[in-house]
Amino acid sequence: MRILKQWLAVCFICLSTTSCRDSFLQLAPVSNPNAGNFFKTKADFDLASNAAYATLYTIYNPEGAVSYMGELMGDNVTILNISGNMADKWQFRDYTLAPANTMVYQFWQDFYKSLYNINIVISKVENADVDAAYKDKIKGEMMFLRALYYFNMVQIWGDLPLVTAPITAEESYGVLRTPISEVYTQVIKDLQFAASKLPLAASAGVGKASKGAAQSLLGKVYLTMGDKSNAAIQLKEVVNSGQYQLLPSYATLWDPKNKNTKESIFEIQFLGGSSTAPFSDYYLGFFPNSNALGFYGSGMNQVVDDVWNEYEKGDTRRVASIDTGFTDAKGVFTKVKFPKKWQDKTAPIIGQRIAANNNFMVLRYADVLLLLTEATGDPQYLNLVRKRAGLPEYGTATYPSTLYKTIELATEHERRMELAFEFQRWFDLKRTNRVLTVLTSKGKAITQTKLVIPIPNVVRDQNNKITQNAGY
Amino acid sequence: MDAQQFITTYIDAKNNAWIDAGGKATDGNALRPTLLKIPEDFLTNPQQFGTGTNWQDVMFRTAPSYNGQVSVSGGTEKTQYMFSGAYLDQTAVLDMNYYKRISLRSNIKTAVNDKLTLGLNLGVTSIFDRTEGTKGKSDVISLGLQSNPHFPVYNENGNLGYRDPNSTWFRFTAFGDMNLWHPYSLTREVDKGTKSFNTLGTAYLEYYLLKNLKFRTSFSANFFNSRNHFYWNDKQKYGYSAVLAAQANAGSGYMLNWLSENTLTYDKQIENHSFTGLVGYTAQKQRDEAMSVAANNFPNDLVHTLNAGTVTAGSTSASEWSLLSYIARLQYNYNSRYFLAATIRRDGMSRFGDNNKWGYFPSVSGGWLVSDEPFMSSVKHLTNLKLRASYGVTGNNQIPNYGAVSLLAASNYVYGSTMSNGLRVNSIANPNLKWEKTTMLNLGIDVGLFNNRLIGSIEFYNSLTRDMLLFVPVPDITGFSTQLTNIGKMRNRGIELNLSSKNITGNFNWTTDFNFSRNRNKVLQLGPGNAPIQYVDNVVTVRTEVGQPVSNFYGYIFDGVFKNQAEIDAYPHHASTTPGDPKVRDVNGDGKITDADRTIIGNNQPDFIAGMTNTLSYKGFEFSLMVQGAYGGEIANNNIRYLGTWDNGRNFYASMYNYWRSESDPGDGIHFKPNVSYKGLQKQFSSYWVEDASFLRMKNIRMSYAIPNKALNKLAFKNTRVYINAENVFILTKYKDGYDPENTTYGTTSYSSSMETSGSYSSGNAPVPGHFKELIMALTPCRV
Repeated sequence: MRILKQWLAVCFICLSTTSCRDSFLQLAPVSNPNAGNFFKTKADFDLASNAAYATLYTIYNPEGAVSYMGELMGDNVTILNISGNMADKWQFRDYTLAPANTMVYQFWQDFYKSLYNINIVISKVENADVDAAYKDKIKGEMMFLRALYYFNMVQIWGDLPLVTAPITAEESYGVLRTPISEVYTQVIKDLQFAASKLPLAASAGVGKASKGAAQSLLGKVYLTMGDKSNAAIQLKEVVNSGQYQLLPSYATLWDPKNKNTKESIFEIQFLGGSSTAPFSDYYLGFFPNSNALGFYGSGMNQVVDDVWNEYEKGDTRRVASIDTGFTDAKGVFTKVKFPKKWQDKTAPIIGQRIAANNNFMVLRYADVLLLLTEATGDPQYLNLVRKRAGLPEYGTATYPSTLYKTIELATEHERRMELAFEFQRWFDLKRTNRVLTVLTSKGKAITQTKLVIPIPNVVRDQNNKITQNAGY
Repeated sequence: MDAQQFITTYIDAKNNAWIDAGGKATDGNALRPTLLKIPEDFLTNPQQFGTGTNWQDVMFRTAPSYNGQVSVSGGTEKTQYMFSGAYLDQTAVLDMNYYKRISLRSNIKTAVNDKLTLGLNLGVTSIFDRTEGTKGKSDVISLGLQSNPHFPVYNENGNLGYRDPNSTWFRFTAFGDMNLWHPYSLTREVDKGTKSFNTLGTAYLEYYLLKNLKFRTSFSANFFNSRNHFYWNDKQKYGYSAVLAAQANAGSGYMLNWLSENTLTYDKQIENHSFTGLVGYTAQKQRDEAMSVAANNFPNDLVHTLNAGTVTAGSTSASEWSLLSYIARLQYNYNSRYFLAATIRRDGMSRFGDNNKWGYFPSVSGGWLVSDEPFMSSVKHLTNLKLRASYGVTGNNQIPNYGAVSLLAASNYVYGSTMSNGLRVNSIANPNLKWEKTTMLNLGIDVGLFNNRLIGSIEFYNSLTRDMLLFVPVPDITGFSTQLTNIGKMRNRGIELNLSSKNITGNFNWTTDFNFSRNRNKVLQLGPGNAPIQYVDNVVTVRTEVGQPVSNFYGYIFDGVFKNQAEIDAYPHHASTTPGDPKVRDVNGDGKITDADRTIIGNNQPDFIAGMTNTLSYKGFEFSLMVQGAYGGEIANNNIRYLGTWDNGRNFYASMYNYWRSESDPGDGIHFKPNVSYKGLQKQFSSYWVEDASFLRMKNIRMSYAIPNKALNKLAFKNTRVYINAENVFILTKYKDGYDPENTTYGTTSYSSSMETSGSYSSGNAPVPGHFKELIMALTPCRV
């Protein structure tokens, strides 16, 4: 009987005490950290800003937004067999994009998710108890990333919702499309802040955004806005900073052992060799859609003859940029052209993927030099790039001036060759207002309204105050 | 398709694309780009392949199964016991698959004295199994269907596939659009299985504090452990889509769920008034843990455990939930003729936000046994008539364990050659997250006629669910696509009918049981602005919108095939359309085909489901037939992506062979011409993917014989029965190629709320064969 009474007492203890009741229902997550007590210390902000940098893996993925827009919408590449929602991917190639296209929506999500990761660091570090110098550096780096993303987005969609701080779902319904010019104002503001606060490349830290990166991007932004003189000022500062130079050989630029070289201005960092670190997917992504060699190529950005044929005789960049096929286990060679720049021949194959070690350069010195020629009309910068490629300089007798009659056309040609498959082509043609002329001459069904892609219909289903681009 | 049909279709698909690109069908490979080249064997000598291999024949087999059960029970006035054991050994239809289960149970109850009773129930179940073919597009069955039919089961070296470098079949590796996932490369070249052990125990104590006041306390625990292993032989005899090095993984799962229930019950009878009151308190908690390890770099295939290789990855994780409930209930009846009951529960759940963990759930019900009324005694043949009504609120807490909390997740970055940890915010906190509530009204009538030889019941219900727990889409500019929120309203209305009739009684018995049910479901309200919730799996689009049932299929309507240019000119069409392409309906009538022409093209919910069982018995023999069916639902066949259209050279459905070939050979008018690079909407989600899911199934035929007790007396057995059982004997359905529309469905997300916006549709992705038989020999139940 006594035992029974004790049992009764135990059973009803929790019934009678509130604290026991509440603590029983308070379960902290076991396997995920809770965001409630984060964003306090320097260590927290280091972790959060690393995650913000990691969004580059998504945005500059071989099947990410910048790749689809920069290459597939242009004339360097095509796709045929590709994994995933093939029909929607073909719509980029065929200029038949519909607002319901799942990739278009994917890219929209990718960008704004990434921006959230950046914005939250900027807004939390503002009031955090960390020193001012650290605050400026973190903010500068984050603003560089934010500017880079908005610069891409405004070229892709035109007017778009400009979000510069974390917002709630309720608030988001009031954020409509901001005109292009105001988006550019924000991009410039962010880059000016970054350029003024970030250290030069030599002391910025490997992989981190630097003053030179901010100025290079700012130069490109000005040029895209048609402001050649401000573009020239920024780009010349980069040239005069003494931080950068062209590597002597174009081929060594693509050696996976040669990372973060003097030519590199902003470079996305990968680490090959294991499945536990983020490895580089570019070569695999651009490998034909085949598994003949024990890994699955995705078949993205297959090289077309049009670009292959544009390389001048003796241009060493062609073999460094384009693979002409692959040899299977029995030694049978399959002829097919695809981008080669990010090949890592010694990388192990893990889970049918190549765990490659190549980085991806978003900004490099050759790009800056060619932009400077574009801004100034002065061929001396372009000629540095041609000299490295082993080609006659612009203005000399052996230059193919019958093909490229003006410095503008010479620059366009040079950028296509030098920066092939680096997600630049479509943006280059767009910046110079040449998309329609160049692409229609190659039989592409491109029209004026296709220069921007549609706002995803999901976005407009959720908020019908968001307008659609004309022609969609 | 067989090999000849496949080759013809393959060639046509390549030629159609080459013609689009300005070429001629007669052009040789030298003129064509790599992706439009055709194997020379296909052009010069397709007959060498004959009809090829039917991969379904390779992977499926007749599958016998065995089942045995024994149970023993007995006791004294004070102590009762029951022990039982059962064993099931099922061979699966799919090669190498099996399911074995052994279960043991023991229940013991003893009355210590007049006031105190103690009891213990224990059950142990152990399952050893290997089941595949149910996980959608990348599982054995789906992959087998996609494999090219011109490849043989074994090549000349006894290997499985054309990737064998020493085989003449290796010549096909030059083509990126040859496909072979040999079923054996996934069944015989893989050593895998799952072992699980489940123990469920309940100990309880009942004590009469007063004559009418009973205290009951019980403690239950459910321990679950499972282990799985997987080893893939080196190179898979070249039968897989790539030649892979050996790899292995192993995992384990653990779950402990305990529950403490404590109640006080008070009974009181005052003349014809009978009262029962109950108050109670329960506490429950569950913890789940998971572990996984992967390894590669095995020296050979001799040892399959991970110690033989190099471990490449490992992980553990855990999560918990807890639930507290208080309950009070009062039941009353007068003369066992009028019934009333009222209940109130208060439940607290750890998953909800700090501000809203608790919810109240009241309900009331009443019943009237009309047939017991004196005035009914004159009604002939009416044995039983009861009216029932209930109204109450129930709660739903099915959300992820930490759904209300903002969690961080790893997102690492590299600087130079150093990997650095990163953390990002993975979900938004919602401290106001609370119970979803459903208010339900039920009205029912039970009838028994002719001494209950004919009994039936009919029930109507109307339920309204509000504060639904949904991952509501929020504008992506917030940085998130969805937020777990209480939002929206949904109504379910329906009717359920059950009839049971003893048609003939006596030495020869015939009984018929019949059931019928229908449900109507309508979404009344969604998130901000009532924006539709859309879920896309590859292209299959499922959309939930206000005024409609949950999860409609949403896409284009294909009205057959354009037979010639004149037809195209006469109707709105996609710019790329040429004769033989699909005729897409201009739903909004604007004269253009755009994505605004997508509309509702089906829903998986059937109009009604029904079933009937007839049992005939004579002396020891019994024969029963069970028929089951559903009418009016649709199914989206996800395999159309692979088998109903060109998809990188995979095999096709045989029905597709009737495709448009020319104006004079227009095929069946349903199947458009194949093309390696469709330019229109052929690969977008459309009515071409959606099929009628109605079916009528002969679910079970059973013949059994009870061995006469006389014959068994020596063995001390009683009531022994022998069965012959045939399950899923046949199915009548319009669904593709005879596959089973009921069992080919899979959820598209691992988690779904009560509304199942994304989970309730059928993708028909992993076809399970509709025609299989099994033979069950059973000895059950045997009593000592």
